[in-house]
Amino acid sequence: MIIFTKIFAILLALTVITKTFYDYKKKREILSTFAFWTIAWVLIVYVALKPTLFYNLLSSMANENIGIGTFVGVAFIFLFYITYRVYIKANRLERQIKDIVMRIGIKDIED
Amino acid sequence: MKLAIIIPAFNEEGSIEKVLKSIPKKLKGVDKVLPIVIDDGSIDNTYELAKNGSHYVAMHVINLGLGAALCTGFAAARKINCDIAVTLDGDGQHNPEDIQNLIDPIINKKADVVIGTRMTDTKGMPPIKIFGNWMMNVMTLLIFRKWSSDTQSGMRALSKLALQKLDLHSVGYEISSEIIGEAHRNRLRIKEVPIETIYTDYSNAKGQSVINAVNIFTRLLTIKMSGKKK
Repeated sequence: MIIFTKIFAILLALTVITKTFYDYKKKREILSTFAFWTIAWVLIVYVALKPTLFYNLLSSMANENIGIGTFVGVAFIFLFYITYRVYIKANRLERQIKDIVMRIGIKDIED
Repeated sequence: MKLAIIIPAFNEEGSIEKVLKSIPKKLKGVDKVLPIVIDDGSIDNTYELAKNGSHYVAMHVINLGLGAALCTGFAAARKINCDIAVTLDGDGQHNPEDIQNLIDPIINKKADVVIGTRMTDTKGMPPIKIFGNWMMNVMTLLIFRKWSSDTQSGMRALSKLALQKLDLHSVGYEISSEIIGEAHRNRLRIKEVPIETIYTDYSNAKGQSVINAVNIFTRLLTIKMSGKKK
């Protein structure tokens, strides 16, 4: 199961990095965005392959043993918060874009 | 009485001229028939062809989706002070001869929203579409507590009151269910009339896929939870 999780993390990271590289080559993303996501996903794979390193680092920072359940729980809360923020922001942007496009669309329509 | 025929179109150069030409010029109880094409960011010649055949063409500078196109159409109908608005798909799957049956209940003040249902005669409708429509009907019932036999029909008529009252937020295909939900929330009178559907290879290739149902369900839930007043 652990091996499967690690392979899955590597494959997911490779997919994301390839997609980011493709977007960069097509000039849909800038170099710094490509670099940021590549580094971020390399770190994610590193944590997935050696979770104890990260876990030990957190425990030493907190000066006590953090249970793996607490660690996973905090990670979930953090990820859900990010998802929530991104969703709210995307929704707001979509509504604003719709409003602008509609206004431009009916600008010249007159009775 | 002014009637707006709202036609959302995205890359419909193969059918838009034919659809515009088929719209009846005269209808019982209507003084003016005004086709309004909403070009939803097409990359083909839809805009130019629509401009030749319709007095009103609204252009979206980018492709947003069916919901946004219909909202633009409704806004345009309000702007030119129309009394009734009928929506038709730009792919030619609707028979414009059904428009009269659709607007009659509004002219006779018996309904505010009239849905053209394709489900009374499903002959020729691909089974996957029948299943998808049924699934969307159940979703609409669960979310908005209003049953319609064809929530996803693109042919519908709205009264002036409905045009003013409906507070629509959809961008994509979820608009069809939202219209029913909003009409129900505003206690508008909803009626269904049977319509004919013309299935061609062109129209079958268009429209939404069944897989899109999950996306529509999520968006409808978000709209429902956005907390509109009762």
